[in-house]
Amino acid sequence: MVIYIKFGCNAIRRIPEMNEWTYSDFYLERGGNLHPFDYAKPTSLAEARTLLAQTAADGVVLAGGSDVLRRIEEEVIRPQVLIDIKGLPELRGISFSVHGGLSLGATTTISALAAHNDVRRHYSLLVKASHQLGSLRIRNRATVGGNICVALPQTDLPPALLCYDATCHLLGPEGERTVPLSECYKGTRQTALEPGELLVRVTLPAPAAYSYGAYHTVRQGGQTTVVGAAVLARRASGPSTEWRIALAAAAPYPLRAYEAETHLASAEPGAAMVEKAAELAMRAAQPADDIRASARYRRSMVGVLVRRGIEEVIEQLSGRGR
Amino acid sequence: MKHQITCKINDEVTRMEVESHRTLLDALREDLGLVGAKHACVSGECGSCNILFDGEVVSACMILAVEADGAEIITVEGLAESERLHALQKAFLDHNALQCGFCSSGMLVSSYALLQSVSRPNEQEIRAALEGNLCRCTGYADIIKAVQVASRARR
Ligand SMILES: Cc1cc2nc3c(=O)[nH]c(=O)nc-3n(C[C@H](O)[C@H](O)[C@H](O)COP(=O)(O)OP(=O)(O)OC[C@H]3O[C@@H](n4cnc5c(N)ncnc54)[C@H](O)[C@@H]3O)c2cc1C
Repeated sequence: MVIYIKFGCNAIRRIPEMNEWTYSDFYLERGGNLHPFDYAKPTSLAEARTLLAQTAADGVVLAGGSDVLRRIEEEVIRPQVLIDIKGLPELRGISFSVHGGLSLGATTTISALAAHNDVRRHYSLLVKASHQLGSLRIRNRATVGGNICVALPQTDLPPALLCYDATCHLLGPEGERTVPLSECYKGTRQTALEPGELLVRVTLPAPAAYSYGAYHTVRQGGQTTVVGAAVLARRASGPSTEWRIALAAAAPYPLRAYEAETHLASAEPGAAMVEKAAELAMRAAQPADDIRASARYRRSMVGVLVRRGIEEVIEQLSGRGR
Repeated sequence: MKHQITCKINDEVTRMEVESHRTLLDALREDLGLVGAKHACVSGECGSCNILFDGEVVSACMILAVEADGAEIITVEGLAESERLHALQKAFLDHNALQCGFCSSGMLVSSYALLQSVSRPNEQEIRAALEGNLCRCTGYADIIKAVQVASRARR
C-alpha cells in the first residue's frame, strides 16, 4: 500500500517497503500531461442527450471545469470523455420578470450572475454569496450549475439559492422534471440527478416586495468557506416577515435550518428570539471534523454566524419601520 | 483525440492542433513558446498562470486548450507594444514590485484586466482584483503601489 498526502496536484508519498516519504508531482510524473480523455462539445440538447446516454459512466459533464479539471489533475477521477455543455444555448443566460421571477441558465458564470442588474436589485443575497466564492478568475469560469452539481458542503451559492426557494430544472433520457434545490442533495458529492441527466437551469420565484439577506462566513481570504450562514427576510405588502436560514459547510451538503426559520416567524421579537433561533440552527447542523475545523468549532460558529445574520437583517428591517 | 482549433492570441490569429487532454497552459507554453504564464500549482489557486480569455482573467491551467477554440486570448507577452513596455510593466520595475518575478506575469495580467474596466482604481479595488494572486517574496505593498502609479501614468 502506498500512502499519499495531497496538496493540489502535488503530494508527499510514502513507500512503506522503503519506509520513506518522497515528494511527488503527479503532473511531472506524467510528463506534464493529464490522463488522456476525449472531448465533445454538443451544440443541441438532442445531441447532448445522445452523448450522455452513450458514454454513461465514463463520461463527465464539463461546465466551468474548476472542479472537474482539478479532480482530473489530482487523479481523483479518470473519465474517458468530457462533455462540454457550454455550447448548449438552453443552458445559457439569465432572464427575469417581476411576476415570473428569475431563471438562471446552468452555465451562467458566477461573475455574470453577480454583475446582472436584476439580480443585484431583487436577489442581492446571491451577489453577496458570489463575492465570497473563490477569486475573480475562478468566478469568471465557475458556473451556477457546477456550484450546485458538485454537491459539496462548503459551496457558497447554494445557501443563498435555498433562501430564495430555488428549483432545479433537469433534463434526462426520460424527459424534463423539476426538483426543489432543497431535495437535490443526497450526500456529499451526491445529487438527485440520475445518470445522464443535466441541470438545465435554476429558477427562483418572483421577488418579495421587500427582502434583505446577509451571508456571514468564517474563511481566510481566498480560501474555502470553513462554515457559513445565509439569512434572508422577505416581506409582502403586510407586516409579517418570512425568514429563511441556510448553512454552508455545516452538514454533508448545503442545508436549510427550518426550525430556526419557523421560530423567527412565530416568536416575540427580541434578543431571546434571536438566541433561540441561533440555537435551533446549531442543532440542525451536522458538521464534519476535518483539516479546516473541528465539528465542535463549526457547530458553535453556526450559532454565532446565524445570530449575526439575523441581527444584521433586523437592523435593516427596523430602518424600514419595523 | 486531436482537435483543430483557431483562436486569437495577442492579436494574432493562431491555428493549433491539440489533444483533448492538453491544458491551455501547456499549449501556450510548450506549443507556442509563450512562457509568461507560469506552471505552478496547476489547481487554480495561485494566479501565476493568469491570462485574459475573452476579456476576463482566468487560470490557464484550469482550461483545456480545445476550449479556447474561437476565443480571444491575451497573455502577459501581449501587454507591451513591440519594444515599449506597458505602463504597468514599467511601474512594476520602477517601484520594485517584484523580487523573484515568478508571480509577476499573473499580477500584471490581473492588473491589466482591472485597468481595462476601472481607469483609476483605489487601493481597495486593486486589492480585490489581485485577490488570490500569491506572491511569496515581496509582499503586496509595492505591487499595489505600482498599479496605482501605472493607472495615473496611463490616464
Ligand atoms: C482555486 C479554487 C477556489 C475555489 N473556491 C470556491 C469557493 O470559495 N466557494 C465555492 O463554492 N467553490 C469554490 N471552488 C469550487 C468550484 O469552483 C465551484 O464549485 C464551481 O462553482 C464549480 O463550477 P464549474 O462550472 O467550474 O463546475 P465543473 O468543474 O465544470 O463541474 C462540477 C461538477 O458538476 C457537474 N456539472 C456541472 N454542471 C452540470 C450541469 N449543468 N448538469 C449536470 N452536472 C453538471 C460536473 O460533471 C462536475 O461533476 C473553488 C475552486 C478552485 C479551483
